[in-house]
Amino acid sequence: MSPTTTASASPQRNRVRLSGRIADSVARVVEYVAELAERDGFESADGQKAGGLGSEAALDPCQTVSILGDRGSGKTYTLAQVCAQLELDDRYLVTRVIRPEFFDRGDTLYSVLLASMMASINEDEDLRGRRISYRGEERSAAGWLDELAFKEASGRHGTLGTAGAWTLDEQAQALVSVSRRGLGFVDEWRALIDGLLASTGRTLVIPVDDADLAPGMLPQILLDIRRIASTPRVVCIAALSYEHAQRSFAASVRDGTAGDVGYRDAIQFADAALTKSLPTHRRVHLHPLSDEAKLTFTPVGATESLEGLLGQIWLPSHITDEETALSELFRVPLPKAFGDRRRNASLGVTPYASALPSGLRDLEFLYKAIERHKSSGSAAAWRVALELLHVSLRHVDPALANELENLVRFSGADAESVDADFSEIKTQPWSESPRQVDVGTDYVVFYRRFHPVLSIGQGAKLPLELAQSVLLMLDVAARTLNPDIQVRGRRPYAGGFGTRLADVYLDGKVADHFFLALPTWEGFSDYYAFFAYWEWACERLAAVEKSLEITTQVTERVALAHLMLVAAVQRSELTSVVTRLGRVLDPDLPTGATWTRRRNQALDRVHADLATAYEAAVNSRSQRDRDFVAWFERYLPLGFHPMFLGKSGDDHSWEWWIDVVRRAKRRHKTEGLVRALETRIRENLGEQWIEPLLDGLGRLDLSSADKLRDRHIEAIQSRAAKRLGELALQVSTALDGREPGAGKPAQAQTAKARDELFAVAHEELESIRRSAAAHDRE
Amino acid sequence: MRVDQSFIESVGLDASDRRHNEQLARDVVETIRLVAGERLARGLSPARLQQFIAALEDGDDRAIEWIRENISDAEIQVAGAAAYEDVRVQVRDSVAQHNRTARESDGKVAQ
Repeated sequence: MSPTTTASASPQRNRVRLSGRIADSVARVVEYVAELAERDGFESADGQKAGGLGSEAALDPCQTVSILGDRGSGKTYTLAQVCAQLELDDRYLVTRVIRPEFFDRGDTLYSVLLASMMASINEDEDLRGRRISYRGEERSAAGWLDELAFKEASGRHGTLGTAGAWTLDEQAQALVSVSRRGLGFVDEWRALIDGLLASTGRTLVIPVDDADLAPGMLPQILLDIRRIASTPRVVCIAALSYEHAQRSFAASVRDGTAGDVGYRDAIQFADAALTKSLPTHRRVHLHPLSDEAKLTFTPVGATESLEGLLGQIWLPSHITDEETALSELFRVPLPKAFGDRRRNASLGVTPYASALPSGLRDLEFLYKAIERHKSSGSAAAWRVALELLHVSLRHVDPALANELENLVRFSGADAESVDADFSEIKTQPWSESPRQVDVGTDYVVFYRRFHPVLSIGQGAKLPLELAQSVLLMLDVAARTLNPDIQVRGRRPYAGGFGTRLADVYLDGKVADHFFLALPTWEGFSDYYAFFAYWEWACERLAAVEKSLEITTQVTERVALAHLMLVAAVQRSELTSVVTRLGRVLDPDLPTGATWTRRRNQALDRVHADLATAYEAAVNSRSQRDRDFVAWFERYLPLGFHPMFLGKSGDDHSWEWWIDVVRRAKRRHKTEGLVRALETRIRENLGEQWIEPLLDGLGRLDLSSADKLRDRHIEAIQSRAAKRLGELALQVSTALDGREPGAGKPAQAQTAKARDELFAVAHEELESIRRSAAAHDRE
Repeated sequence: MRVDQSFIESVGLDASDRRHNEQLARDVVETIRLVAGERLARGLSPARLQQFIAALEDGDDRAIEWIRENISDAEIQVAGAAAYEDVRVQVRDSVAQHNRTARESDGKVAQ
């Protein structure tokens, strides 16, 4: 029994808080144990009177609760949490967790259990001196345990230990003897438990972990569990992988019958035995942790979830003026434009979350490591952060690592500062996890060596925030570029980006068209941005290809298609961007012209010029207000990615970009955007871009999309009404307002008064028109 | 229905300035058309209004054809006359109100 069994629970321990899935599993197991502890129908305390035939205990004698799950699903962790909770409850005596995988030769569940109980009783003064009588004989609890341990050992080993030298008759007699001893043992075990626990009303809980990891002993362990747990006030909690246990048991059955039993029959036999020992109605199945569950994981005794802990680690302020928490690496926040002001509202988890350890123990290790390093300073915390990044890369395809390598090289990082060795970093504290060992071994971590905080070890260089963008970009773009992509593991990457970003490879071939909707660490984009991007791109292309004439209308259409596709990506619409964009562009290009790789090279030079143009536009309020059509928080054209805006010291550096975004965000609130859009739509009623724009907004599920659409419809109807009046009166009446002549001057009316009255009349007419339009809207 | 100097005088304005008269006539005609159109549009079902919008997109000729097919001359006459009178009365009342306010203001100043 654990020494903490009777200790009063500390306030810290009482604050056990687990994330949803784990908490549910633990609660269910504890609930099962409580039900079993309170049931009746067993023999009475003196061991003489049997329970009724129809009683619960008679129908369901084996008081076992099982926790089932594959390796790494959190069985051991869950079992530990269950024990921790039960230990806080005075109704239970919880033994140390028994692990058959550590049994020595000759150990049995009984012997280990008795040894464990002996150790605990010797530590407990009250229990040690307790007198227990059985069949007229009274002894101390410790004395009974000694006796039981002796009988158990001699019954199993003393007799059978030399069985090989015996005759068949002697072996048969020994088996009978063992059987008799076994029955006697069970009686004495019950008497012992009665004596120890009956007066206290407590229940003995025996946790057994990973019983299936001792395959040769599994049949005996299951039998022992049945015997031990068929005793009143004894509950056994067994954690194991059902599939492993089933296979091990079946193998034992086949070995014991020299293969006479077929595999299928052996499996059925194993199922039957497992069902006897582990009743199906008290099984708790554990499934792999969801990404969300990983983020909300909270270890025992902690008050903060893993995500909350990561939220306390901040990006060093000299990278960006805005405070950015590490937790943002794992979640795509819901853009404010969506109107949801809830704290932590998000569009979902990022690809990084799936790369977090899936095992609860690993998660707790990670949690403790970050917690430990967090207190020692930001630099140390960032090392942990980088290790996290590495973990995430270990979980994606090798192809992705290569693509990232290309991306980094293309980003124009200083050759001297880039370590040419993209070798694996091997010393990862959580590399013991089977899943992580199984997943590739040839990955790299990227960071900037010249950065004082991020500079550790060897490897290529990629700022953390940029790595985030790139990973997200690949994740989204790969799915978007090829909806038929074959999912490998949990990663859909199958295409691949070539040595230059301007080239897109799909299935090993260069695609005709290049397009990326790029999610960013802190993104910003709008129609103007798209339009400006494509305008510059097209101009550059036209400069390269003299015969190529791309009109403004083409650019506008492409920009709109881009905008709509971004919206589609945000809604996870799996659509072929290349195909759709190509469909928009191709019909307008001169015959034979295509968006080729050679032309794409021109894009390389576009980015810097584009940044200049965009900076001017952003800083010019009047131009911006005129052209500002849509605002999307998370995506922007590739051309505006900070990766392509030059390096530190340049006017178009990352810092500049962040500043632009911040200022632009401050300037354009969502409400202002809607008003601007409404005005723009009214003023440009009938323009071809309105419907696609509204469609795009609708796909984004922007809260204002419906409102804008309504306004658009109203504006169309109002215009129709006006035209109806004009045309109808033209058709059927002689409404004539042409060239009214001059009448007689009104008496006693000065010119000033006359002008004032005409102004009043015009105002009234304007008022009537507004009123008519509003009436029409209703 | 004419919007001439008589109309302008009928709403209480001094029609001696031809330039003023022409500007106001254009404004009045536009307003009458809008009000009449709004009355007619309200008499249409959403589906028929949509038909008209579609006809408009095909050009004025198609829209006029649609009007001839779907709205009787009497309906248009009634809507036009009502709009004409509504606009005239509203402008007249507004001008009269302004005159009253101005007189009251002048009286207070004189006292």
